[in-house]
Amino acid sequence: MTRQLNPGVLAYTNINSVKLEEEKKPMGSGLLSPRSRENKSSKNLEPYERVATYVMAIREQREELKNGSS
Amino acid sequence: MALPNPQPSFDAPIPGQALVAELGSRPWQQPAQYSTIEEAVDFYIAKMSSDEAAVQIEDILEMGVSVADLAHIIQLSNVMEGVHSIDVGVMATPVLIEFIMLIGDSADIKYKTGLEDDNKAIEKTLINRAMKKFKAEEDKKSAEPVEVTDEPQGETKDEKINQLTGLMARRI
Repeated sequence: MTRQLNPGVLAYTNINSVKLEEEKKPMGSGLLSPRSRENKSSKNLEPYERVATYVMAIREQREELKNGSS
Repeated sequence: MALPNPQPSFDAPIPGQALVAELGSRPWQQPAQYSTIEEAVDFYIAKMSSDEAAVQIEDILEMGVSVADLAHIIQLSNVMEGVHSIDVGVMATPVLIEFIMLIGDSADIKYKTGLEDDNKAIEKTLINRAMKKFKAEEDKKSAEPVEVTDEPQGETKDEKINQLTGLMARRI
């Protein structure tokens, strides 16, 4: 019943499938080096991506806590 | 035992009275206090990081309330109070769920997440039901007496002849 009445459950399960873009390694700074596109700043991220970053950050903390205690 | 009231009460609310409140008089009809996810998440994290809130959440989790339900109730009550809109609340719910799990883990509580798939349970019951039906049919079949016929089973002689159609087949 929880799933049907709570849209947050659906949001949470869908957040898990969001793949955040990995940070690209900095390119060379020479004049002839290919120009890389500017990385998306946090302001340019979509709302669901921003939520995903928060969830990932808290999850990391939780996993650290679990691994530390076990 | 309650005695029947001899006189009708005229102070009771009229049916539908709750729906005729002046527009804007309810908190959720006003502009939300926090309009972005960041603001809402900051509000929740600050509120739930306090010791008092953490203890309350731990108590609720120990009572058997699932994390998803608790997060939903928290965000819905804040929508009612005009803290944020429904959409911001739904978007903030995953963060709430994760944070409540963090509180539960830090307190070493075995909590229910509420994220379990209900369909699996339904599938299981359907499989059990089908298995029961199949078993009943099998029992019914085995209980029926087998009819014994005089005709010999297997292929007849004519059928065997028809099968041998190759050039090298032995003629009968």
